Amino acid sequence: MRDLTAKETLSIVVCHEDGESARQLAEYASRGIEEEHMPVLLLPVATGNSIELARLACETSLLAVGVGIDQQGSISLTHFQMPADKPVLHAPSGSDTRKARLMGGNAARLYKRIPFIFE
Amino acid sequence: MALIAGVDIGNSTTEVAIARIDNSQLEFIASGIDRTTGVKGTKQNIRGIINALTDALRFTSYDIDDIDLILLNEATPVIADIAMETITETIITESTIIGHNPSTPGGIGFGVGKTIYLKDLAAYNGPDAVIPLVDNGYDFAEVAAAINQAIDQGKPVAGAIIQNDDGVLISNRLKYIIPIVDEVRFIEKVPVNMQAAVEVAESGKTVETLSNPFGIATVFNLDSEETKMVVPIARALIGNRSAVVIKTPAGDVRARRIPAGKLQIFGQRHNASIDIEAGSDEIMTSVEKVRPILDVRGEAGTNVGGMTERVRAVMSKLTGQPLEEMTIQDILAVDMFVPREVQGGVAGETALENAVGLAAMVKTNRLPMQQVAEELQKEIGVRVEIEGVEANMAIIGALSTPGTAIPLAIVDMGGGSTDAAIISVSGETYSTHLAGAGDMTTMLIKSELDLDNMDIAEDVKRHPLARVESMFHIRMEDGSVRFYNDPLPAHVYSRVVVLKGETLEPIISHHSMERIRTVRREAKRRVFVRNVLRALRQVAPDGNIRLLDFVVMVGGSALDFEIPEMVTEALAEYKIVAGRANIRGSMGPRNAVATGLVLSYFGHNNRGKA
Repeated sequence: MRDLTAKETLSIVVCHEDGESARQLAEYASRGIEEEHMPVLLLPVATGNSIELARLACETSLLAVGVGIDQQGSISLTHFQMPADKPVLHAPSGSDTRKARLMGGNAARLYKRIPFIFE
Repeated sequence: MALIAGVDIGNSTTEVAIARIDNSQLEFIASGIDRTTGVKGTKQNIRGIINALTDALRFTSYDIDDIDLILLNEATPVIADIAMETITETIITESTIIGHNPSTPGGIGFGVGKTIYLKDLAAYNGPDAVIPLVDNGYDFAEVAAAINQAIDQGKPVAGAIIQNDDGVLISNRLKYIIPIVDEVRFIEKVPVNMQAAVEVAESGKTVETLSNPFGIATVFNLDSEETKMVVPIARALIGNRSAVVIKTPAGDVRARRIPAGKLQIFGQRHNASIDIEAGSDEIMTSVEKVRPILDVRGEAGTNVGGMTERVRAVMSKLTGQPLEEMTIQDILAVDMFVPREVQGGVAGETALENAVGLAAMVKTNRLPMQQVAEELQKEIGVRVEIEGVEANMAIIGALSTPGTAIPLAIVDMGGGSTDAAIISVSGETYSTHLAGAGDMTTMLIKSELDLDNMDIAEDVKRHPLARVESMFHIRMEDGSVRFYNDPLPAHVYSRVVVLKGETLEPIISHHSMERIRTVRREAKRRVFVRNVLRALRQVAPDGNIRLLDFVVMVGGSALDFEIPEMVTEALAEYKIVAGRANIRGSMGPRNAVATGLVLSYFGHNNRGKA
C-alpha cells in the first residue's frame, strides 16, 4: 500500500479487493459516505475477506471507521474499538450496489453517532 | 390447620395472598400475581384466578386442592375506559408543501422559481427562474451535469427538488450553491409549471422564511386575506431544516377545526354543558361543580358524542348489561398534542394537532361476583366466599404497613382507575373511584410520541431511558454512564432506549431523550397527581385535604419509579405524610386487598372463638 498523508486518512476508509465488482461496490459505498457530508478514501488492496479489509481500513482511518469489501460482494463496517472478528455491521456475499451505498451511509452515521438505516 | 387464600380481581391484575391459620395463629405463607383474564366481575376471571393461585403456590408444598377457603372481594361496580380524539386537522388542497426533514438536504439558501421537469430544462428558454423536479430515474451525476449545463447557458436555476437521497451528491458537483430538497417520496404529486419557493437552512438551523406567514406572503405577493390562509403552512414548516412551498391558483390550505362538540354532564343537583374545545381545565372545573355525577353524554353527531357512545358500547358488550344502563360516573379530560400526517402532504409531513384524551368510568349494576364465586367453586372444588367490600379490604391491608395507624387515607393507583378510601378514628370508611390511571398514562405517551403500539408505550412508562452513545456505553437519563464489555447490538446504536433490566429496547422515533422524558413525566403528572388530589378531596373530612395526616399509596402504579415521588411531593404542599405502602412489611404497594381479605376473615373468626 502506498504512503498516505494525514489529510487523506482523516476520512472514512474503504478497503476493497482489487477487482471490478469490489471496486464498483466501493464506489457506491463512497457515495453513501459523501451524501452524509463525510470525507472518504478508497484503498484497493490485493486480497482479503471483507472483515479483514474492514479491520485494515479502520486501522488506517484517523476517524477509526473502516469499510471492507471483497470480490464476493461481502461488505463489513467496523470501528477501531471493535473486536477484530466482530464488525459493527456485516452484509454477506452477493450484496448489490444499493446495499453498498447503505453501508457507506451507515459508516458515516457510525462516526456521526446517529442511528443506522437498515432498509 | 386451615389454608386461606385472599383473591383480589383488579382491572389489570389478579393478586393472591395465602395464609395458614394454626391454633389462632395467622401466618402468611405465599403471594401470587397474574394478569386478569376478561373484564373484572365476569366468569372469564376464573382462568386468571387459577393462574395467580398457581403462581402463589409455586414455592410451597401445597396444591390448589389443599386450600380450604378462597375469599373474594365485593368488586366495585366501576370499569374504566379511555378514548382520544383529535379536534384539529391540517388539510392542504390544490397547493403543495414539502416540509419533511431529510437527514441530508443539499446546498443551502433560498430560491424562488417555476417548477419544471428536468428533461425539459435543456429546451427551456424563458426569462423566469426555474426549479427542476427530479424523479428517481436519474443518476446524481446526470442531474448535476444537466443543471451545470443550464447554468452555463445562463438559465436561472433557483433550486431543485429530488426524489432520491442525492441532495449532497448533486450539490457537491454543481458550480453554484443552490438549495436542494431531497427524499421527496411522492414527487409525482408536485405540480409542474407553478411558482415554488425552496429553502434549505444550514445545519443546526431551521428554515426562516417559509416558516413565517409574512415570509410566504412576501414570496408570493399575498394580500392580508391570503396571508391568513397560509398560517397552517407556516406552522407545519416550523422546525424543519428544509422546505418547499408551491402556490397553485386557487390554492387552499386550511387547518380545519373538526366540530368537537359539547359534553353534557348530568349531576344530582345540576347539569353542565361544556365545549370540548374549552380545554381540559374548564371541563374538569365543570365536573367538580356538578358532582356527584349521574351521567355524561356527548353531543350527538360530534366527535365527543362518538367517543362517549363508544365507551358505553364497549362497556355494555363486556359486561353483558343493556346499553341504556351504562352511565358514566366520572371523566378525566386531558389536553394533548398529537402528531398527525398532514392531509395532502407529499413527503409524509406531520403537524401537531390538538386533541383531547378522555378517561371515563362507567357505573354498572353490581358486578356479579357471587356468580364468579359459584363458578370458581364448581371448577376447582374449593369453598369460595365473598368476604367484603374492596375499599375496606384495601384499608385493612394497607394498615399492615409498618408505621401506619387509624385514621388513615389510602389512594389505590391501578390500571383503570384511581380510588381513594379513608378510615376515621371511629372506624367508618368512605371511598371513591375516579376515571384515569395507568392505562390513560400509557395512551397519552403513545399518542404524544406517536409510538407504534401500546407495548412500547407501556415500556416507556415503566422504565427509565438511556441513550446508546457508543458501541460500548450508554448514558442514563440521570447522566450516569454504564459501560459494557461486549459490543451492543447495531440496531440500538445511537438510539434512545428503555432499560428493561438487562435488555435495551430501542424507541424508533426522532424524539430526543429529553423530550421523551418530559412527555412521560407530564403524562404521569396530568393523570396521577391530578387524580390523587381529586380523589382525596372527595373522601377528606369537609373536602379539605389539609385535614388528612397520613396517605398511603397502594396499587400497581404505586410501584412506578417516579409516580409515588410526584404524589408525595404534591401532597407535601398540604403538610401530609404520604408514601408508598409496604403491605405486611414485605409486599410493597401490591397485595393490599388480597391481604385485607385474609386479615378481615381472621379478625371476625378469631373474635368468635375467643
